[in-house]
Amino acid sequence: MKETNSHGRHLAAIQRLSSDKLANLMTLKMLNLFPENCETTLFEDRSDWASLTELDVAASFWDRASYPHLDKVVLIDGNSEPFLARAFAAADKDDVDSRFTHLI
Amino acid sequence: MLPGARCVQSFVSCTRKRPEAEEPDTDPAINESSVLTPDAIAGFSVNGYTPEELHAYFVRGARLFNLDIDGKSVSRCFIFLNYGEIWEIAGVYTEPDSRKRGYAQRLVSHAVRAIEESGGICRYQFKSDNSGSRAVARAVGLDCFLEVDHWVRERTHGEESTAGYRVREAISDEYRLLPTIERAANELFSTTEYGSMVEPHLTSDQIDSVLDRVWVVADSSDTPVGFAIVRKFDIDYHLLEIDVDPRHGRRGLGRLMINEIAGQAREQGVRALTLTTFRDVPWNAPYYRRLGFRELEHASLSAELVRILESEAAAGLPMARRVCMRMDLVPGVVAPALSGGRH
Repeated sequence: MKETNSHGRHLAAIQRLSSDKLANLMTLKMLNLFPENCETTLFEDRSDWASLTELDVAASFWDRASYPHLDKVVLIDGNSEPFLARAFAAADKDDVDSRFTHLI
Repeated sequence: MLPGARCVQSFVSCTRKRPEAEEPDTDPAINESSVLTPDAIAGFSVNGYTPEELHAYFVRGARLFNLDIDGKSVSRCFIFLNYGEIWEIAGVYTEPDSRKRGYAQRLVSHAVRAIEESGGICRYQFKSDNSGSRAVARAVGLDCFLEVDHWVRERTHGEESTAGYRVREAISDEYRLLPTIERAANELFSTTEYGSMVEPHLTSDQIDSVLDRVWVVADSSDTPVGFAIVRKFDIDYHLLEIDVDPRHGRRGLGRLMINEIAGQAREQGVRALTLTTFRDVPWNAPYYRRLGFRELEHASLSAELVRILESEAAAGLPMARRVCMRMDLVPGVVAPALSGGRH
């Protein structure tokens, strides 16, 4: 299994997320709008993957207004339960708003 | 899910996999415009949109739809290019005295068709407890494909963890304690590629008693466990050094010191607090950004800041990785209101 710390290197995550732009739109958008304010970690193995993207609340107007008491927003996407579990474990910090997307 | 977290809100996203077999005729009561009018700005403020957010969307091709009945606008929405080829249907609103008449459904149906005719993919998002929007989505043939939950884990350190600590100006006898703290804090860089570059000459060894002001954060026994050295530049303060003993780290003491310094500086009419730092070390630029600092373009640097960067270059620091940051202290100056979080 390859684990990529994507600080400053979001391309691998964007490539994975772009496999379903509708489902992963929010994270794709944040990585494009606020690359300097995002840190992404990608967990992947062949076709299985999950991404953990930390966004500074200060960067996004909506997030500043909605969650002024928080420092970080964590966006979690992926298609693999084991990797999603790892992403959640990595997000286990204080002061976060975690957004977990799941397909209906 | 995250231990101790609670779900605070959820959103549902819908799209249409394929157009309806028989589309209704174009609705003649709906007019379309690409001009953002003051009326529209006022109207969409009901949905929480700010004027700058709306302007950003309309500059990039957003379109406004109004449903007029008897010459009166009863329902409205707009569409904007959200990401790639995905267009968002947003700001759907029907006047209270015109509800329950299917107007929102007509409007959203029209918007969906307008997006599809231009080759785009439509997306319609609403809060999961908004039964009206859910009914509209179903009626126009939109399929829900995604739920997004927002979970919040409340602070367990933060203010509580700073209990027993206080920030105050240092007394000169305490200056001798500061190099030990600075060396301990510099040890954190040993886990980064900058480990060998951290200055051999400690800033806390070179305090200028005339130009510099020094604050410390002291523990319950009033012993300094962190410090900040600030130099007055013209009408700005420059943060030369800020360090917390790692044994007292991750408690918010850095933030406590900066808030105190910023507060005192503001009261004294200081315009801004500036600093230079590493762009890509998590407890450097990303951390200061969270505290309200913003990155400065090189062209906007003052002569003093340029001199500081030149001295850093002379000391061998990798200047492509260095960044100059500024926190505005003047009332009314806030970080730029970038859009992008709502949808």
